[in-house]
Amino acid sequence: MDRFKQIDKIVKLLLIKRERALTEHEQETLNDWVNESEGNHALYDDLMDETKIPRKLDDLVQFDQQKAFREFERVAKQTKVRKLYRNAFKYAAILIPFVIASWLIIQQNREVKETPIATVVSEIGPGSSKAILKLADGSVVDLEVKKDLIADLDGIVVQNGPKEILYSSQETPQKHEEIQYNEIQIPRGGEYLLILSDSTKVWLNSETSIKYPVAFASNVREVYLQNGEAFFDVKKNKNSPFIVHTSKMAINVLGTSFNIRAYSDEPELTTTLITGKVSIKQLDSDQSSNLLPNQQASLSATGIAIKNVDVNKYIAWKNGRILFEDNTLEEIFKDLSRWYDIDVEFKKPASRQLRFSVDVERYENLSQVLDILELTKKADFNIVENTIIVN
Amino acid sequence: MEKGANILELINQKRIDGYKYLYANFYPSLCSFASSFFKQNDLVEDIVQDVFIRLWRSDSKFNSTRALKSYLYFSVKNACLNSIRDNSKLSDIDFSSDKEIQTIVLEDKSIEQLLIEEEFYRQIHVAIEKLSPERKRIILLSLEGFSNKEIAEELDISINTVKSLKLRAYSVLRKELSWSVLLFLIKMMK
Repeated sequence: MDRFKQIDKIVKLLLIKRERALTEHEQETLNDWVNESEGNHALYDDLMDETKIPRKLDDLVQFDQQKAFREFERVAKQTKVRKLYRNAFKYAAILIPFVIASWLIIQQNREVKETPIATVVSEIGPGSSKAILKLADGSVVDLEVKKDLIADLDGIVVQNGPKEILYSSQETPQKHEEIQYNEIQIPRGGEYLLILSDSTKVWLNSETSIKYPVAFASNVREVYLQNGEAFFDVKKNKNSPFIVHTSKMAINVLGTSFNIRAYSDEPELTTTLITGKVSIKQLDSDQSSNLLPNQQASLSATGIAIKNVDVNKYIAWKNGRILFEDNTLEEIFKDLSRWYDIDVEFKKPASRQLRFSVDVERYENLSQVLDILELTKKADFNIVENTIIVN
Repeated sequence: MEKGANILELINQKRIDGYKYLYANFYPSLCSFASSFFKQNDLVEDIVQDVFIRLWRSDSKFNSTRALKSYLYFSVKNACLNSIRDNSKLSDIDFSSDKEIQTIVLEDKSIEQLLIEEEFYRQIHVAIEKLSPERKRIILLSLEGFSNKEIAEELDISINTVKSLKLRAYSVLRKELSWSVLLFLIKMMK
Protein backbone atom coordinates (compact mmCIF):
# COMPACT_ATOMS: atom_id res chain seq x y z
CA MET A 1 0.00 0.00 0.00
CA ASP A 2 2.87 2.35 0.73
CA ARG A 3 4.05 1.85 -2.80
CA PHE A 4 0.80 3.34 -3.98
CA LYS A 5 1.32 6.39 -1.82
CA GLN A 6 4.46 7.17 -3.79
CA ILE A 7 2.60 6.57 -7.05
CA ASP A 8 -0.20 8.94 -6.02
CA LYS A 9 2.31 11.57 -5.02
CA ILE A 10 4.13 11.50 -8.34
CA VAL A 11 0.87 11.52 -10.32
CA LYS A 12 -0.40 14.54 -8.37
CA LEU A 13 2.83 16.44 -8.98
CA LEU A 14 2.66 15.66 -12.68
CA LEU A 15 -0.93 16.89 -12.82
CA ILE A 16 -0.13 20.04 -10.86
CA LYS A 17 2.78 20.75 -13.17
CA ARG A 18 0.33 20.98 -16.06
CA GLU A 19 -1.54 23.74 -14.19
CA ARG A 20 1.15 25.87 -12.63
CA ALA A 21 4.81 26.09 -11.74
CA LEU A 22 5.82 23.75 -8.94
CA THR A 23 7.19 25.07 -5.67
CA GLU A 24 10.83 24.37 -4.94
CA HIS A 25 9.96 21.51 -2.62
CA GLU A 26 7.54 19.94 -5.09
CA GLN A 27 10.02 20.25 -7.92
CA GLU A 28 12.70 18.56 -5.82
CA THR A 29 10.43 15.63 -5.03
CA LEU A 30 9.60 15.25 -8.69
CA ASN A 31 13.25 15.55 -9.76
CA ASP A 32 14.24 12.84 -7.30
CA TRP A 33 11.82 10.50 -9.01
CA VAL A 34 12.78 11.51 -12.55
CA ASN A 35 16.48 11.03 -11.83
CA GLU A 36 15.94 7.66 -10.21
CA SER A 37 16.18 5.82 -13.51
CA GLU A 38 16.32 6.32 -17.23
CA GLY A 39 12.91 4.69 -17.49
CA ASN A 40 11.40 7.31 -15.19
CA HIS A 41 12.98 10.02 -17.27
CA ALA A 42 11.53 8.64 -20.49
CA LEU A 43 8.09 8.23 -18.88
CA TYR A 44 8.22 11.81 -17.61
CA ASP A 45 8.94 13.14 -21.10
CA ASP A 46 6.08 11.03 -22.45
CA LEU A 47 3.53 12.22 -19.91
CA MET A 48 4.45 15.87 -20.35
CA ASP A 49 3.89 15.58 -24.10
CA GLU A 50 0.32 16.84 -24.48
CA THR A 51 -0.07 15.55 -28.00
CA LYS A 52 -0.03 12.00 -26.63
CA ILE A 53 -3.09 12.54 -24.47
CA PRO A 54 -5.77 12.25 -27.20
CA ARG A 55 -4.42 8.91 -28.45
CA LYS A 56 -4.24 7.48 -24.97
CA LEU A 57 -7.80 8.62 -24.28
CA ASP A 58 -8.91 6.92 -27.49
CA ASP A 59 -7.39 3.71 -26.18
CA LEU A 60 -9.30 4.05 -22.92
CA VAL A 61 -12.64 4.72 -24.59
CA GLN A 62 -12.35 1.42 -26.49
CA PHE A 63 -13.05 -0.39 -23.23
CA ASP A 64 -16.80 -0.02 -22.92
CA GLN A 65 -17.37 0.53 -19.22
CA GLN A 66 -21.13 0.94 -19.61
CA LYS A 67 -21.53 -2.42 -21.28
CA ALA A 68 -19.28 -4.04 -18.71
CA PHE A 69 -21.24 -2.44 -15.90
CA ARG A 70 -24.58 -3.72 -17.24
CA GLU A 71 -23.15 -7.21 -17.31
CA PHE A 72 -21.84 -6.79 -13.78
CA GLU A 73 -25.23 -5.52 -12.63
CA ARG A 74 -26.91 -8.67 -13.92
CA VAL A 75 -24.51 -10.95 -12.09
CA ALA A 76 -24.53 -8.83 -8.94
CA LYS A 77 -28.31 -8.81 -8.68
CA GLN A 78 -28.42 -12.60 -8.76
CA THR A 79 -26.06 -12.83 -5.81
CA LYS A 80 -27.96 -10.19 -3.95
CA VAL A 81 -31.31 -11.92 -4.41
CA ARG A 82 -29.92 -15.07 -2.86
CA LYS A 83 -28.57 -13.17 0.13
CA LEU A 84 -31.83 -11.30 0.53
CA TYR A 85 -33.90 -14.44 0.44
CA ARG A 86 -31.92 -15.91 3.29
CA ASN A 87 -32.77 -12.98 5.47
CA ALA A 88 -36.22 -12.44 4.05
CA PHE A 89 -38.00 -12.57 7.35
CA LYS A 90 -35.69 -10.12 9.04
CA TYR A 91 -35.83 -7.71 6.12
CA ALA A 92 -39.60 -7.84 5.82
CA ALA A 93 -40.03 -6.61 9.35
CA ILE A 94 -37.68 -3.69 8.69
CA LEU A 95 -38.96 -2.90 5.25
CA ILE A 96 -42.71 -2.69 5.78
CA PRO A 97 -42.70 0.80 7.33
CA PHE A 98 -40.45 2.02 4.51
CA VAL A 99 -42.73 0.60 1.87
CA ILE A 100 -45.67 2.40 3.39
CA ALA A 101 -43.68 5.61 3.71
CA SER A 102 -42.44 5.53 0.14
CA TRP A 103 -45.92 4.80 -1.14
CA LEU A 104 -47.12 7.90 0.68
CA ILE A 105 -44.31 9.96 -0.79
CA ILE A 106 -45.03 8.70 -4.29
CA GLN A 107 -48.68 9.61 -3.87
CA GLN A 108 -47.70 13.08 -2.76
CA ASN A 109 -45.30 13.56 -5.61
CA ARG A 110 -47.90 12.46 -8.09
CA GLU A 111 -50.15 15.24 -6.90
CA VAL A 112 -47.36 17.74 -7.21
CA LYS A 113 -46.52 16.71 -10.73
CA GLU A 114 -50.06 17.27 -11.89
CA THR A 115 -50.08 20.92 -10.92
CA PRO A 116 -48.26 23.19 -13.35
CA ILE A 117 -45.30 24.93 -11.82
CA ALA A 118 -43.58 28.02 -13.08
CA THR A 119 -40.77 27.14 -15.42
CA VAL A 120 -37.35 28.50 -14.81
CA VAL A 121 -36.04 29.88 -18.05
CA SER A 122 -32.44 30.93 -17.65
CA GLU A 123 -29.79 28.96 -15.75
CA ILE A 124 -27.96 30.72 -12.97
CA GLY A 125 -24.76 28.91 -12.07
CA PRO A 126 -23.31 28.53 -8.59
CA GLY A 127 -20.47 30.57 -7.15
CA SER A 128 -16.86 29.53 -7.51
CA SER A 129 -13.38 30.24 -6.18
CA LYS A 130 -12.94 33.99 -6.36
CA ALA A 131 -10.99 36.38 -4.17
CA ILE A 132 -9.17 39.67 -4.13
CA LEU A 133 -5.90 39.94 -2.22
CA LYS A 134 -4.78 43.28 -0.83
CA LEU A 135 -1.09 43.43 0.06
CA ALA A 136 0.51 45.49 2.81
CA ASP A 137 1.61 48.19 0.35
CA GLY A 138 -1.97 48.62 -0.82
CA SER A 139 -1.58 46.86 -4.15
CA VAL A 140 -4.36 44.52 -5.19
CA VAL A 141 -4.26 41.09 -6.86
CA ASP A 142 -7.20 39.22 -8.39
CA LEU A 143 -6.59 35.65 -7.21
CA GLU A 144 -9.04 34.20 -9.70
CA VAL A 145 -6.84 35.45 -12.53
CA LYS A 146 -3.37 35.04 -11.02
CA LYS A 147 -3.64 31.31 -10.40
CA ASP A 148 0.10 30.76 -10.48
CA LEU A 149 1.03 33.64 -8.20
CA ILE A 150 4.00 32.87 -6.00
CA ALA A 151 5.57 35.64 -3.97
CA ASP A 152 8.06 35.99 -1.19
CA LEU A 153 6.91 38.41 1.51
CA ASP A 154 9.58 38.89 4.09
CA GLY A 155 10.59 35.22 4.27
CA ILE A 156 7.02 33.95 3.96
CA VAL A 157 6.15 32.28 0.68
CA VAL A 158 2.68 33.07 -0.64
CA GLN A 159 1.33 30.69 -3.18
CA ASN A 160 -2.01 30.81 -4.95
CA GLY A 161 -3.68 27.64 -6.19
CA PRO A 162 -6.97 26.93 -7.94
CA LYS A 163 -9.05 27.25 -4.79
CA GLU A 164 -6.74 28.30 -2.04
CA ILE A 165 -4.00 30.67 -1.03
CA LEU A 166 -1.21 29.38 1.12
CA TYR A 167 1.25 31.23 3.35
CA SER A 168 4.16 29.13 4.44
CA SER A 169 7.22 30.01 6.46
CA GLN A 170 10.26 28.10 5.25
CA GLU A 171 12.45 28.75 8.26
CA THR A 172 11.62 28.77 11.96
CA PRO A 173 9.56 31.84 12.74
CA GLN A 174 11.70 34.78 13.70
CA LYS A 175 10.74 38.05 15.25
CA HIS A 176 9.51 40.37 12.60
CA GLU A 177 10.06 43.96 13.53
CA GLU A 178 6.75 45.15 12.24
CA ILE A 179 3.72 43.05 11.48
CA GLN A 180 2.67 43.19 7.83
CA TYR A 181 -1.01 42.70 7.11
CA ASN A 182 -2.68 41.26 4.05
CA GLU A 183 -6.38 41.33 3.40
CA ILE A 184 -8.66 39.04 1.39
CA GLN A 185 -12.05 40.01 0.08
CA ILE A 186 -14.46 37.43 -1.28
CA PRO A 187 -17.09 38.88 -3.61
CA ARG A 188 -20.67 37.65 -3.89
CA GLY A 189 -20.66 34.32 -5.70
CA GLY A 190 -17.21 33.50 -4.39
CA GLU A 191 -15.42 31.32 -1.84
CA TYR A 192 -11.79 30.60 -1.04
CA LEU A 193 -9.53 28.71 1.33
CA LEU A 194 -6.87 30.69 3.15
CA ILE A 195 -4.00 28.82 4.79
CA LEU A 196 -2.15 31.06 7.22
CA SER A 197 1.57 30.94 7.97
CA ASP A 198 0.96 28.81 11.11
CA SER A 199 -0.98 26.23 8.99
CA THR A 200 -4.33 27.36 10.35
CA LYS A 201 -6.96 26.91 7.66
CA VAL A 202 -9.72 29.43 7.08
CA TRP A 203 -12.56 28.69 4.68
CA LEU A 204 -14.09 31.94 3.48
CA ASN A 205 -17.69 32.23 2.30
CA SER A 206 -19.18 34.73 -0.16
CA GLU A 207 -19.12 38.44 0.68
CA THR A 208 -16.48 38.06 3.34
CA SER A 209 -13.40 40.08 4.19
CA ILE A 210 -10.57 39.21 6.54
CA LYS A 211 -7.32 40.89 7.55
CA TYR A 212 -4.41 38.85 8.88
CA PRO A 213 -0.65 39.16 9.41
CA VAL A 214 1.64 37.64 6.78
CA ALA A 215 3.65 36.17 9.67
CA PHE A 216 2.32 36.03 13.20
CA ALA A 217 4.00 37.62 16.21
CA SER A 218 5.57 35.01 18.49
CA ASN A 219 3.21 35.33 21.46
CA VAL A 220 -0.21 35.89 19.93
CA ARG A 221 -2.02 35.19 16.64
CA GLU A 222 -4.66 37.78 15.79
CA VAL A 223 -6.87 38.03 12.72
CA TYR A 224 -9.73 40.38 11.90
CA LEU A 225 -12.95 39.09 10.36
CA GLN A 226 -14.33 42.39 9.13
CA ASN A 227 -17.47 41.02 7.53
CA GLY A 228 -18.99 37.73 6.45
CA GLU A 229 -18.63 34.07 7.31
CA ALA A 230 -15.58 31.91 7.92
CA PHE A 231 -14.78 28.44 9.17
CA PHE A 232 -11.56 28.17 11.18
CA ASP A 233 -9.46 25.09 11.76
CA VAL A 234 -6.85 26.50 14.11
CA LYS A 235 -3.42 24.93 14.47
CA LYS A 236 -2.73 24.10 18.11
CA ASN A 237 -0.09 26.23 19.81
CA LYS A 238 -0.23 26.51 23.60
CA ASN A 239 2.18 29.43 23.69
CA SER A 240 0.35 31.57 21.23
CA PRO A 241 -3.41 31.98 21.56
CA PHE A 242 -5.39 32.61 18.39
CA ILE A 243 -7.84 35.50 18.50
CA VAL A 244 -10.49 36.31 15.93
CA HIS A 245 -11.70 39.90 16.18
CA THR A 246 -15.06 40.86 14.75
CA SER A 247 -16.86 44.17 14.87
CA LYS A 248 -18.68 43.28 18.07
CA MET A 249 -16.69 40.56 19.81
CA ALA A 250 -13.42 38.69 20.07
CA ILE A 251 -13.07 34.91 20.03
CA ASN A 252 -10.11 33.49 21.88
CA VAL A 253 -8.97 29.95 21.06
CA LEU A 254 -6.14 27.53 21.63
CA GLY A 255 -6.56 24.97 18.89
CA THR A 256 -9.95 24.06 17.59
CA SER A 257 -12.42 24.32 14.72
CA PHE A 258 -15.41 26.62 14.59
CA ASN A 259 -17.61 28.71 12.33
CA ILE A 260 -18.20 32.44 12.66
CA ARG A 261 -20.99 34.23 10.89
CA ALA A 262 -20.67 37.99 11.18
CA TYR A 263 -22.39 39.69 8.27
CA SER A 264 -22.79 43.36 8.97
CA ASP A 265 -26.29 43.38 7.46
CA GLU A 266 -27.61 40.69 9.80
CA PRO A 267 -28.80 41.38 13.36
CA GLU A 268 -27.11 38.37 14.93
CA LEU A 269 -23.49 37.34 15.02
CA THR A 270 -23.01 33.62 15.65
CA THR A 271 -20.09 31.41 16.63
CA THR A 272 -20.58 27.65 16.31
CA LEU A 273 -18.00 25.39 17.91
CA ILE A 274 -17.19 22.03 16.32
CA THR A 275 -14.21 20.84 18.39
CA GLY A 276 -12.05 22.19 21.22
CA LYS A 277 -12.91 25.18 23.36
CA VAL A 278 -13.22 28.90 22.77
CA SER A 279 -14.08 31.87 24.89
CA ILE A 280 -16.02 34.81 23.58
CA LYS A 281 -15.68 38.33 24.77
CA GLN A 282 -18.11 41.03 23.85
CA LEU A 283 -16.55 44.37 23.02
CA ASP A 284 -17.41 47.27 25.35
CA SER A 285 -18.33 44.79 28.07
CA ASP A 286 -16.56 42.54 30.51
CA GLN A 287 -18.89 39.69 29.76
CA SER A 288 -17.09 36.64 28.46
CA SER A 289 -18.53 33.15 27.93
CA ASN A 290 -17.02 29.75 27.22
CA LEU A 291 -18.33 27.60 24.43
CA LEU A 292 -18.24 23.79 24.27
CA PRO A 293 -18.44 21.62 21.14
CA ASN A 294 -21.90 21.56 19.53
CA GLN A 295 -22.79 24.85 21.14
CA GLN A 296 -23.53 28.12 19.44
CA ALA A 297 -23.21 31.63 20.80
CA SER A 298 -25.41 34.31 19.28
CA LEU A 299 -24.65 37.92 19.91
CA SER A 300 -27.51 40.33 19.36
CA ALA A 301 -28.62 43.64 20.82
CA THR A 302 -29.72 41.82 23.97
CA GLY A 303 -26.34 40.20 24.67
CA ILE A 304 -24.83 36.74 24.26
CA ALA A 305 -27.09 33.68 24.24
CA ILE A 306 -25.73 30.11 24.18
CA LYS A 307 -27.62 27.07 22.92
CA ASN A 308 -26.91 23.50 21.76
CA VAL A 309 -27.19 23.05 18.00
CA ASP A 310 -26.72 20.51 15.24
CA VAL A 311 -23.46 21.91 13.88
CA ASN A 312 -23.84 20.30 10.44
CA LYS A 313 -26.39 22.88 9.48
CA TYR A 314 -23.98 25.72 10.18
CA ILE A 315 -20.93 24.32 8.43
CA ALA A 316 -22.74 22.77 5.45
CA TRP A 317 -21.42 25.55 3.19
CA LYS A 318 -17.86 24.56 3.96
CA ASN A 319 -18.69 20.92 3.20
CA GLY A 320 -20.10 21.80 -0.21
CA ARG A 321 -23.81 21.68 0.64
CA ILE A 322 -26.72 24.03 0.85
CA LEU A 323 -28.61 22.90 3.91
CA PHE A 324 -31.65 24.49 5.50
CA GLU A 325 -33.91 22.93 8.10
CA ASP A 326 -37.14 24.72 8.69
CA ASN A 327 -35.74 28.14 7.81
CA THR A 328 -37.75 31.10 6.58
CA LEU A 329 -37.68 31.98 2.92
CA GLU A 330 -36.08 35.27 3.87
CA GLU A 331 -33.16 33.50 5.58
CA ILE A 332 -32.79 31.05 2.73
CA PHE A 333 -32.66 33.74 0.07
CA LYS A 334 -30.21 35.80 2.08
CA ASP A 335 -27.69 32.96 1.68
CA LEU A 336 -28.67 32.08 -1.88
CA SER A 337 -28.32 35.68 -3.03
CA ARG A 338 -24.74 35.78 -1.75
CA TRP A 339 -23.68 32.49 -3.32
CA TYR A 340 -25.49 32.85 -6.65
CA ASP A 341 -25.00 36.62 -6.76
CA ILE A 342 -28.68 37.35 -7.30
CA ASP A 343 -31.25 39.78 -5.94
CA VAL A 344 -34.60 38.78 -4.49
CA GLU A 345 -37.94 40.49 -4.58
CA PHE A 346 -40.88 39.34 -2.49
CA LYS A 347 -44.24 40.14 -4.12
CA LYS A 348 -46.10 39.50 -0.86
CA PRO A 349 -44.37 40.32 2.43
CA ALA A 350 -46.03 37.30 4.06
CA SER A 351 -44.08 34.88 1.93
CA ARG A 352 -40.85 35.95 3.63
CA GLN A 353 -41.91 33.97 6.68
CA LEU A 354 -42.77 30.70 4.88
CA ARG A 355 -40.61 27.87 6.17
CA PHE A 356 -38.70 25.35 4.06
CA SER A 357 -36.09 22.61 4.30
CA VAL A 358 -33.51 22.20 1.56
CA ASP A 359 -30.52 19.91 1.15
CA VAL A 360 -28.61 20.10 -2.15
CA GLU A 361 -25.08 20.30 -3.51
CA ARG A 362 -23.65 23.80 -3.30
CA TYR A 363 -22.28 23.51 -6.82
CA GLU A 364 -25.63 22.88 -8.51
CA ASN A 365 -27.33 25.54 -10.61
CA LEU A 366 -29.83 27.78 -8.87
CA SER A 367 -32.72 26.15 -10.74
CA GLN A 368 -32.12 22.92 -8.82
CA VAL A 369 -32.66 24.72 -5.54
CA LEU A 370 -35.72 26.56 -6.81
CA ASP A 371 -37.20 23.30 -8.11
CA ILE A 372 -37.01 21.83 -4.63
CA LEU A 373 -38.70 24.86 -3.12
CA GLU A 374 -41.41 24.78 -5.78
CA LEU A 375 -42.15 21.11 -5.15
CA THR A 376 -43.73 22.07 -1.86
CA LYS A 377 -46.29 24.14 -3.77
CA LYS A 378 -46.00 26.84 -1.14
CA ALA A 379 -44.21 29.22 -3.47
CA ASP A 380 -43.19 29.71 -7.05
CA PHE A 381 -40.55 31.86 -8.65
CA ASN A 382 -39.77 33.82 -11.76
CA ILE A 383 -36.30 34.81 -12.80
CA VAL A 384 -35.88 38.18 -14.48
CA GLU A 385 -32.23 38.75 -15.34
CA ASN A 386 -30.53 38.32 -12.00
CA THR A 387 -33.53 38.91 -9.81
CA ILE A 388 -35.70 36.17 -8.36
CA ILE A 389 -39.30 37.20 -7.94
CA VAL A 390 -41.18 35.28 -5.27
CA ASN A 391 -44.88 35.06 -6.13
CA MET B 1 -12.63 13.90 0.28
CA GLU B 2 -16.31 14.00 1.13
CA LYS B 3 -17.09 12.47 -2.19
CA GLY B 4 -14.35 9.89 -1.79
CA ALA B 5 -15.61 8.93 1.65
CA ASN B 6 -19.15 8.45 0.36
CA ILE B 7 -18.02 6.27 -2.51
CA LEU B 8 -16.03 4.11 -0.12
CA GLU B 9 -19.08 3.61 2.03
CA LEU B 10 -21.14 2.59 -0.99
CA ILE B 11 -18.46 0.10 -2.02
CA ASN B 12 -18.11 -1.29 1.50
CA GLN B 13 -21.86 -1.73 1.75
CA LYS B 14 -21.99 -3.52 -1.63
CA ARG B 15 -24.18 -0.88 -3.21
CA ILE B 16 -24.69 -1.04 -6.97
CA ASP B 17 -24.40 2.73 -7.44
CA GLY B 18 -20.96 2.64 -5.84
CA TYR B 19 -19.91 0.08 -8.39
CA LYS B 20 -21.33 2.17 -11.19
CA TYR B 21 -18.93 4.89 -10.14
CA LEU B 22 -16.07 2.37 -9.94
CA TYR B 23 -16.73 1.19 -13.48
CA ALA B 24 -16.91 4.71 -14.88
CA ASN B 25 -13.75 5.75 -13.10
CA PHE B 26 -11.57 2.66 -13.22
CA TYR B 27 -12.74 0.08 -15.73
CA PRO B 28 -11.02 1.54 -18.84
CA SER B 29 -7.77 2.24 -17.01
CA LEU B 30 -7.66 -1.19 -15.40
CA CYS B 31 -8.20 -2.75 -18.83
CA SER B 32 -5.46 -0.61 -20.29
CA PHE B 33 -3.18 -1.63 -17.42
CA ALA B 34 -4.00 -5.30 -18.00
CA SER B 35 -3.28 -4.96 -21.70
CA SER B 36 0.34 -4.18 -20.83
CA PHE B 37 0.56 -7.86 -19.96
CA PHE B 38 -1.06 -9.18 -23.12
CA LYS B 39 -2.71 -7.64 -26.08
CA GLN B 40 -6.02 -9.49 -26.45
CA ASN B 41 -8.72 -7.02 -25.52
CA ASP B 42 -11.48 -9.56 -24.85
CA LEU B 43 -9.31 -11.52 -22.45
CA VAL B 44 -8.23 -8.34 -20.75
CA GLU B 45 -11.84 -7.26 -20.22
CA ASP B 46 -12.75 -10.67 -18.80
CA ILE B 47 -9.98 -10.39 -16.27
CA VAL B 48 -11.03 -6.94 -15.10
CA GLN B 49 -14.69 -7.93 -14.99
CA ASP B 50 -13.75 -10.91 -12.87
CA VAL B 51 -11.86 -8.71 -10.41
CA PHE B 52 -14.95 -6.54 -9.93
CA ILE B 53 -17.23 -9.54 -9.41
CA ARG B 54 -14.85 -11.06 -6.91
CA LEU B 55 -14.74 -7.77 -5.02
CA TRP B 56 -18.55 -7.73 -4.96
CA ARG B 57 -18.68 -11.23 -3.50
CA SER B 58 -15.87 -10.72 -1.02
CA ASP B 59 -16.12 -9.25 2.45
CA SER B 60 -13.30 -6.78 1.79
CA LYS B 61 -13.76 -3.38 3.35
CA PHE B 62 -11.58 -0.37 2.58
CA ASN B 63 -10.69 2.52 4.82
CA SER B 64 -9.30 4.80 2.13
CA THR B 65 -9.67 5.34 -1.58
CA ARG B 66 -5.99 4.60 -1.92
CA ALA B 67 -6.49 1.16 -0.37
CA LEU B 68 -9.32 0.48 -2.78
CA LYS B 69 -7.31 1.70 -5.77
CA SER B 70 -4.34 -0.37 -4.71
CA TYR B 71 -6.58 -3.44 -4.34
CA LEU B 72 -7.99 -2.99 -7.85
CA TYR B 73 -4.69 -2.51 -9.65
CA PHE B 74 -2.85 -5.26 -7.82
CA SER B 75 -5.73 -7.73 -8.17
CA VAL B 76 -5.68 -7.09 -11.90
CA LYS B 77 -1.95 -7.55 -11.99
CA ASN B 78 -2.11 -10.83 -10.09
CA ALA B 79 -4.96 -12.11 -12.22
CA CYS B 80 -2.96 -11.28 -15.34
CA LEU B 81 0.13 -13.04 -14.12
CA ASN B 82 -1.88 -16.10 -13.10
CA SER B 83 -3.57 -16.18 -16.44
CA ILE B 84 -0.23 -15.93 -18.22
CA ARG B 85 1.10 -18.77 -16.13
CA ASP B 86 -1.88 -20.92 -17.11
CA ASN B 87 -1.59 -20.16 -20.82
CA SER B 88 2.10 -19.53 -21.12
CA LYS B 89 1.85 -19.41 -24.92
CA LEU B 90 0.05 -16.06 -24.73
CA SER B 91 3.05 -14.17 -23.59
CA ASP B 92 6.75 -14.20 -23.94
CA ILE B 93 7.43 -13.51 -20.29
CA ASP B 94 9.69 -16.21 -18.98
CA PHE B 95 8.53 -17.69 -15.71
CA SER B 96 11.05 -20.49 -15.60
CA SER B 97 13.51 -18.35 -13.73
CA ASP B 98 10.73 -17.54 -11.23
CA LYS B 99 11.84 -13.98 -10.71
CA GLU B 100 10.26 -11.72 -8.16
CA ILE B 101 7.07 -10.33 -9.64
CA GLN B 102 8.10 -6.76 -8.85
CA THR B 103 11.10 -6.98 -11.11
CA ILE B 104 9.21 -8.14 -14.18
CA VAL B 105 9.75 -5.61 -16.88
CA LEU B 106 6.99 -5.07 -19.43
CA GLU B 107 7.77 -3.11 -22.56
CA ASP B 108 10.74 -1.83 -20.60
CA LYS B 109 8.50 -0.39 -17.90
CA SER B 110 8.36 -1.37 -14.24
CA ILE B 111 5.03 -1.93 -12.48
CA GLU B 112 5.49 1.37 -10.70
CA GLN B 113 5.99 3.22 -13.96
CA LEU B 114 2.97 1.52 -15.51
CA LEU B 115 0.82 2.52 -12.57
CA ILE B 116 1.99 6.13 -12.70
CA GLU B 117 1.20 6.24 -16.40
CA GLU B 118 -2.26 4.69 -15.98
CA GLU B 119 -3.18 6.85 -13.00
CA PHE B 120 -2.06 10.03 -14.75
CA TYR B 121 -4.14 9.37 -17.85
CA ARG B 122 -7.02 7.99 -15.79
CA GLN B 123 -7.49 11.25 -13.92
CA ILE B 124 -7.36 13.28 -17.11
CA HIS B 125 -9.76 10.86 -18.79
CA VAL B 126 -12.30 11.03 -15.95
CA ALA B 127 -12.17 14.84 -15.96
CA ILE B 128 -12.49 15.12 -19.74
CA GLU B 129 -15.38 12.62 -19.85
CA LYS B 130 -17.41 15.08 -17.78
CA LEU B 131 -17.26 17.70 -20.54
CA SER B 132 -19.97 18.15 -23.16
CA PRO B 133 -19.14 16.44 -26.51
CA GLU B 134 -18.49 19.80 -28.14
CA ARG B 135 -16.03 20.99 -25.50
CA LYS B 136 -14.41 17.57 -25.40
CA ARG B 137 -13.73 17.69 -29.12
CA ILE B 138 -12.15 21.12 -28.90
CA ILE B 139 -9.93 20.16 -25.97
CA LEU B 140 -8.73 17.03 -27.76
CA LEU B 141 -7.97 18.93 -30.96
CA SER B 142 -6.11 21.61 -29.08
CA LEU B 143 -4.11 18.99 -27.17
CA GLU B 144 -3.12 17.49 -30.51
CA GLY B 145 -1.57 20.84 -31.30
CA PHE B 146 -4.15 22.41 -33.61
CA SER B 147 -4.45 26.19 -33.42
CA ASN B 148 -7.75 27.92 -32.67
CA LYS B 149 -7.98 28.88 -36.33
CA GLU B 150 -7.46 25.31 -37.52
CA ILE B 151 -10.03 24.02 -35.03
CA ALA B 152 -12.54 26.63 -36.21
CA GLU B 153 -12.05 25.47 -39.80
CA GLU B 154 -12.22 21.80 -38.90
CA LEU B 155 -15.49 22.19 -36.98
CA ASP B 156 -16.86 24.95 -39.19
CA ILE B 157 -17.51 27.39 -36.36
CA SER B 158 -16.18 30.87 -35.65
CA ILE B 159 -12.84 31.37 -34.01
CA ASN B 160 -14.50 33.22 -31.13
CA THR B 161 -16.77 30.26 -30.44
CA VAL B 162 -13.69 28.05 -30.31
CA LYS B 163 -12.03 30.44 -27.90
CA SER B 164 -15.00 30.61 -25.55
CA LEU B 165 -15.71 26.86 -25.66
CA LYS B 166 -12.07 26.20 -24.92
CA LEU B 167 -12.04 28.61 -22.00
CA ARG B 168 -15.15 27.04 -20.47
CA ALA B 169 -13.80 23.55 -21.04
CA TYR B 170 -10.50 24.34 -19.37
CA SER B 171 -12.21 25.89 -16.39
CA VAL B 172 -14.37 22.77 -15.94
CA LEU B 173 -11.31 20.56 -16.29
CA ARG B 174 -9.42 22.62 -13.76
CA LYS B 175 -12.34 22.36 -11.35
CA GLU B 176 -12.39 18.58 -11.73
CA LEU B 177 -8.68 18.09 -11.37
CA SER B 178 -8.04 20.76 -8.77
CA TRP B 179 -10.07 19.17 -6.02
CA SER B 180 -7.71 16.24 -5.69
CA VAL B 181 -4.74 18.54 -6.09
CA LEU B 182 -6.03 20.82 -3.36
CA LEU B 183 -6.46 17.93 -0.95
CA PHE B 184 -2.97 16.88 -1.79
CA LEU B 185 -1.54 20.29 -0.95
CA ILE B 186 -3.23 20.25 2.42
CA LYS B 187 -1.89 16.81 3.18
CA MET B 188 1.63 17.80 2.20
CA MET B 189 1.65 20.53 4.79
CA LYS B 190 0.88 18.27 7.71
